[in-house]
Amino acid sequence: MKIKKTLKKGFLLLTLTVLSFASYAQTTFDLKLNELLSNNTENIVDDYGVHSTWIEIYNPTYGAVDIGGCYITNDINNPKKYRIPQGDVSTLIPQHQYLLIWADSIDYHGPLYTNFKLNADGGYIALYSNDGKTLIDQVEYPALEANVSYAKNDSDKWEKTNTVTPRLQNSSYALESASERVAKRDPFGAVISITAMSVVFISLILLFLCFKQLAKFHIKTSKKKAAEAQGVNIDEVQNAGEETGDIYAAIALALKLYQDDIHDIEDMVITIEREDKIYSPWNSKVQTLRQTPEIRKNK
Amino acid sequence: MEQGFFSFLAENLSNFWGYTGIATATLGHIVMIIIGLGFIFMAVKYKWEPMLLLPIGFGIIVGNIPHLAVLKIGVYEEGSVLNILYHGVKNGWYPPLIFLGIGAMTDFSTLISNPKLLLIGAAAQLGIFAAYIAALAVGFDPNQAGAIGIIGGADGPTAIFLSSRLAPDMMGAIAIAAYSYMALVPVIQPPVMKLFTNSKERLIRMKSPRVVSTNEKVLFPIVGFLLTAFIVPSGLPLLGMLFFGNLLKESGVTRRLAETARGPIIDICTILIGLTVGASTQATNFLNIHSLGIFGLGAASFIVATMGGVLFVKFFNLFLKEGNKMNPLIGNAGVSAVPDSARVSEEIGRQYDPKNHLLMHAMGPNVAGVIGSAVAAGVLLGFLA
Repeated sequence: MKIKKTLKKGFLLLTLTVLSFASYAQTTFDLKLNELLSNNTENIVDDYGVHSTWIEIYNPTYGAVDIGGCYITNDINNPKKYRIPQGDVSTLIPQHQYLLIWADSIDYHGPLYTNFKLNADGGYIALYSNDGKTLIDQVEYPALEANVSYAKNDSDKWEKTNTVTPRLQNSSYALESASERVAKRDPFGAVISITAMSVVFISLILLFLCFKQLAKFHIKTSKKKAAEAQGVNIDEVQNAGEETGDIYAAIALALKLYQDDIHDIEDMVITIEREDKIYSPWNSKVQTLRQTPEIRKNK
Repeated sequence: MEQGFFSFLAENLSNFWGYTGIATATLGHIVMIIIGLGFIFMAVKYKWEPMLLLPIGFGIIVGNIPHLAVLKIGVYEEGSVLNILYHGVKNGWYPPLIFLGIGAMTDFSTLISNPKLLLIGAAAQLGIFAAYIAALAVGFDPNQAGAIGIIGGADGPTAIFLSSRLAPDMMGAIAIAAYSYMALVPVIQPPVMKLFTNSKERLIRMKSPRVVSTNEKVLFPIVGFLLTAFIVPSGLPLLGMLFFGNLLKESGVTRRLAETARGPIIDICTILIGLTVGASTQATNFLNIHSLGIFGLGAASFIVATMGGVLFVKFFNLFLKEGNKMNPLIGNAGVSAVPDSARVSEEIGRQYDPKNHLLMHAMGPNVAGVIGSAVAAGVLLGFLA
């Protein structure tokens, strides 16, 4: 009884933990500042055809996150400098996707246009949650040459880069397919083959170990139960299922013969001999038809 | 008046003639139709994988009836009926549904009672990677090589699933190669099995599997899924559906769902996958040197996979005590052509000892091969997609 209660409590706790992780996994707190371009002369243009400066935000979670209501600023003393409007579909960042916010200092251009510009001589950018107090992410960037961005590399470190990747992963990875990368780094396929084969083996070895232990446990428990039922010592219990293959084959054959005997389609014989059938009113069509109503004539 | 009528009639007939398949047929179309008929012949006459070869064979004929693209009836013409059905192949919907049915009809008892058989299922995946390396060596791109390699897994749905992701243009040829070789398992495997075993090994009698409890059967899909999916999340669609189907079967409380999964669902998907894969193999993209390469490498991968399974059992036997040793003739069953390769083990085993029944032992590596090939597909997808 006590164990049951403890198990129930443990299960409840586990569920709550999983749920809390799940809910946390899709909040604005996971968003990351990913890249910025403070000196845009030849890179992409905004919706108005202008080479505006921009900030890229990445959603690393497994769910869509709405950035609407959050604050973005270039002033360390003013976290609420620009509030991203709520209720617009454009502020929703799908899982593992990127969102560009244009810093063109004309906020009425749309929800993704801030009221400040990025300074090409260096500066500061921060993203705050919708209370305007909780910092989500921040970065200080140096002076940047024209069309050189400041971006996070594969090791999550900020660096200057000539490979500007708006709305894309910040590395050469984004520019070539997985197959092309493999062709360059493993032209003979040895690395992939060894790795993949090892993964297959590891997966099945883990399964093997797991079920080997489970089998031991099961055999021990069933022997114990059998010993208790028979009132003998556990070592005296004969192992079940140690019959020879012939016995199994004979059982299988017997089952097959039995099943073959029960068949849906009966052998039919066409004959001209009259077949006697016992009359039953239950299948008589006459009984199922509506009777002709009797017409009563008024006298 | 009469002249105008006849000229109009002649013009219409001429236009109609231009629309007919007879007028637009090419040699390629005829060759493909003959191949389709060959598949139907093999399915009907020799009963080689009839459930698949028959729909594929008819699909090949359907896909190679010449017609003008403006009619929008072909498998590649957006919005046509065949095209809508083909989405299930192109986007990988059918293979996981087939895996759901496979899970609901597979009994993992032999595997649970003797878990070391799982490792044979892993060893037999060697064919996949041997074919991958060979395909790279003959000039295929890594993604194409991965899709070709999976033929060695001897698992049609997995081959279609992976090739639809890695090399969609080769999917028809890969699917046909995979299913053809699965049908030819009784022809390909026995010589390899005999070549790598000696007469003493072929006579090894294995211990009967113990009785497996319901709890173990219910735990297997749950634990199996958690372990494999955490290691290879990219294999989630296949592994998830396989183990879910098995849980429906083994839980004992969802009999109707299990019956639907292993009955109507798998039947419908098999019909649709067979027909549309067949229809996708049109002369223009099938009759080329690449297809020949795919067929050659596919055959090699089957041979290596069989060899891998057999040799692994021999190697494993070095560490097993007398009485616990495994018969290497069950090694071939590690390729997941269920249950044909297990039947081959039984037949070859009985050739040397009529009283040695290997079928139930071979079913262990056989179903382990299904898990192994799904994991291998997941790994390749993770690396190459």
